[in-house]
Amino acid sequence: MSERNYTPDEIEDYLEGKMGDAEKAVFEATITEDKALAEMLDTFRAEKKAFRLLRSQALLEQFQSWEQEKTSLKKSPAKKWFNHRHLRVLILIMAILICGVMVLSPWFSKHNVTKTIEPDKQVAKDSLNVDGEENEADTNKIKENSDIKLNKDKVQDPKSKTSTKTTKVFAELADKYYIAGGGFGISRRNTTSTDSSKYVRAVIEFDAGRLSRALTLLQQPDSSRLDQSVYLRAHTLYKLDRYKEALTDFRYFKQVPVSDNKYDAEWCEVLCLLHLMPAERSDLFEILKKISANANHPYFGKAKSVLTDLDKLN
Amino acid sequence: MDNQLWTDEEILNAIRGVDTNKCNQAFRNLFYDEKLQRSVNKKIRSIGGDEADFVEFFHLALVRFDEAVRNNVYNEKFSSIRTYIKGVAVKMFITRKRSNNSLANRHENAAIFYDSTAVSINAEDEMIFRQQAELLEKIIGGLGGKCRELLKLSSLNYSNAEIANKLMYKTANAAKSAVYDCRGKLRAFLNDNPALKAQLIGL
Repeated sequence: MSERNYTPDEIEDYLEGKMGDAEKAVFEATITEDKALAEMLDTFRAEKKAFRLLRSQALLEQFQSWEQEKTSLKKSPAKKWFNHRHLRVLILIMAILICGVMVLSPWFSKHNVTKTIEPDKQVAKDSLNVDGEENEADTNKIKENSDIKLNKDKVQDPKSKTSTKTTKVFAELADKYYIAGGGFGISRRNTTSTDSSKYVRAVIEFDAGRLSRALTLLQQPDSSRLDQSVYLRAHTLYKLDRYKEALTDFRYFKQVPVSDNKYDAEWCEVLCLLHLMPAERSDLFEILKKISANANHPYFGKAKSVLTDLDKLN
Repeated sequence: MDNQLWTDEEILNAIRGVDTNKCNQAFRNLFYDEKLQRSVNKKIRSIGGDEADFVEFFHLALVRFDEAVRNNVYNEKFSSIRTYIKGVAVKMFITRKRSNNSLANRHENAAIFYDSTAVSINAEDEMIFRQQAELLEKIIGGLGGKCRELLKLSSLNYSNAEIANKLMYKTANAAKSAVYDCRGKLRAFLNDNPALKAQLIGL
């Protein structure tokens, strides 16, 4: 039999059963005679087994890593639960809280302000941060309040239709006698073009109709312009239909010893009281009688007219 | 992960094919088959095993199944893949128990039942995988880490391009020649260690 050199590929073909029958027979015959080939075949056979073991080991390693993956998923049920159910519950609670805050905040704001600004002369001064310290909470509170357009009729007397009608009549009367830009213009006269104080910025905001911004600035006024700030704030509050607070400021300003706007402030007090009618009836008549008794009072004539109008209403 | 169970045909095609990714997916599908896991776990527990036994023998059964498919021992006409894997796991567990102590006699019936499902388990199952791993370590350990990885990937039927990609070879040809070199080293080592070679052939 002629000796033939077999390649590694041919030996592998034999081991994998890919060799043809005739060729296989020749190969097997050669093995019996060729010890080197037989040795080589054994080596290939051993190599094949080693590969099998390697594959098994690789698969086992793979399965173990999957097992760890599976175990880690099982071990962290809390995390999984948090991701799905807990998160949903959390979102739901947050949504309820946000809705609650949105619904209740106007109510709270309204009540807080009423409580903070008492009809006391000193309160107007105290509510301003004279030391110039930033009072964020107060600022925000006021901003929220001013942003909410209060319904005049609802606030004053929501229960009775007659009362609403009466309130409307008094409001119209107040509008009739309103001193448009009157006394306030005098305060503004003192400002210079280079002045960038909070007061001036508040005046600019007030003129531009941005009342809530003006009010925010006036809550932390410059201590040198405290009285003017109170007066401007009174007007701002008046325009925002917050008559009780405006009344407190006007009353405070009326007491300022040296003031050009003393009489204006007094008249604005009358206007505030008109808006607060009929609750403030006695105060209104008292102040009107006082003004109408003083012939030198700049609003003497107007006070008389208001009294006449009120008599007609009665 | 694809949770849909593959059919037996899909699994067999994937394992017999050349696409290593698909083969990997097929095993992943079997591995995460909850019904199969429950069934194997329940059976192994019913014959005295615990969770650790289930995990070990489930893995070994999957490896045996892979070998059976590659060596054309598995015949889908006689049993479904899942029945085969369950049978192999139970049979291997009983064999292990029998070799450890003679308590497994009580579960002889179970073994007979699984013999009838054409599960082909031969004497080599008596050899514990740990011993096989030790033998492999003796042989491959001397070749170096790089060769070990190359041969492992080659044994898993990775293509030269995939090997190049995984082991940072510049080209598929470079990976091919690296595999060739490592195989040459392995054969040289086996020729130099006839005892180990004989042990391997005897497996």
